[in-house]
Amino acid sequence: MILVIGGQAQGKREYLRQTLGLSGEQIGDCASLPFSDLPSYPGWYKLNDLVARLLQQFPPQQVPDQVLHLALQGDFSRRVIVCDEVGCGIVPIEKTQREYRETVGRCCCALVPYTQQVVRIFCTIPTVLRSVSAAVEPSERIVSRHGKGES
Amino acid sequence: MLTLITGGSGSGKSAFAEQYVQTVAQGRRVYIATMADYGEESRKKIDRHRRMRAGKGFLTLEQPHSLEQISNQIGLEDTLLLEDLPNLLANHIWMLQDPQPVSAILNGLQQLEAGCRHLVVVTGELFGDGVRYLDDTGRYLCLMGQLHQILAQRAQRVVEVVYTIPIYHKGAQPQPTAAKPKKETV
Repeated sequence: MILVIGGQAQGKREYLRQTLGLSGEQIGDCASLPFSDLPSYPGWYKLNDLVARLLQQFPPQQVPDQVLHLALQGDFSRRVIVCDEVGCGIVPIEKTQREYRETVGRCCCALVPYTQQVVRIFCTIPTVLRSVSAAVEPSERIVSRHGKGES
Repeated sequence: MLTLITGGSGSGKSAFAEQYVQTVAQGRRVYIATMADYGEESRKKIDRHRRMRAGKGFLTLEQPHSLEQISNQIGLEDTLLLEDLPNLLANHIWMLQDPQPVSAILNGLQQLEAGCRHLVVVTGELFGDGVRYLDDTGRYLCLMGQLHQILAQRAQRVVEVVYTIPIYHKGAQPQPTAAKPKKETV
């Protein structure tokens, strides 16, 4: 799995197309697709939209596990997940907004152990933050320390 | 020695900071909590952080502002984990109505740093939401930026945590210390 992060409008989708060679049809829209359809897409755009939808159905602490459940189905080792960085600002006054930005962060933290690569896109320029040959397999599932237990 | 650890909301910076302290500490580990109890949500956060630290041998001191007041409780071999700078500044501005919050905070931090082995300060990345704040929040951001700039200059290590991944912007990743931690005595 590859996690592609960065602020809004930095060229993350173009990175999927140009560098990773995904076509438009291979990139699933997390804002609109039924949850059950997402595992069949190699590209996910954008995880933060999926988190916002999941937060309407689940309490924040359950959302990272829901994301893992969907992200580790299908051909997950070839999956590329795009997520906006939303946690680098003033803490919002509204509680749902605070929960949203923190939960997006927690979901990315939960995904990282399963990634071969984490890439941050800044003005179209990629920086590889993590690169490992062998990521954790779902059978060795790690539970987030912010969730139910410790790995 | 001073280490500055930063990251966005939900980035895993607190968990990293505790792990970091476990790696570098030789003497007592002291957690300095700056978050004031503002109601249910802050209590939940305080509880979550307490659970995360449980069993790791931290002595906790709660000090929402005026850090110099606890300098007499610190020992020269201690490693201090201060969490966090955004709360500390907010408390100086709005709780204490401090006219010179930046210099007061820098002075408090300097006293702590001088009296311990290693001071680890956790802060937050507040500067990237693209919103133009013209009121008190704008001033707050400006003062946070000043603190970051001065502390990053002063620090031997500056680490940004991105979704559990540490990026060492300044200084090298520390090697684990061989000595066993002393048991907390207070």
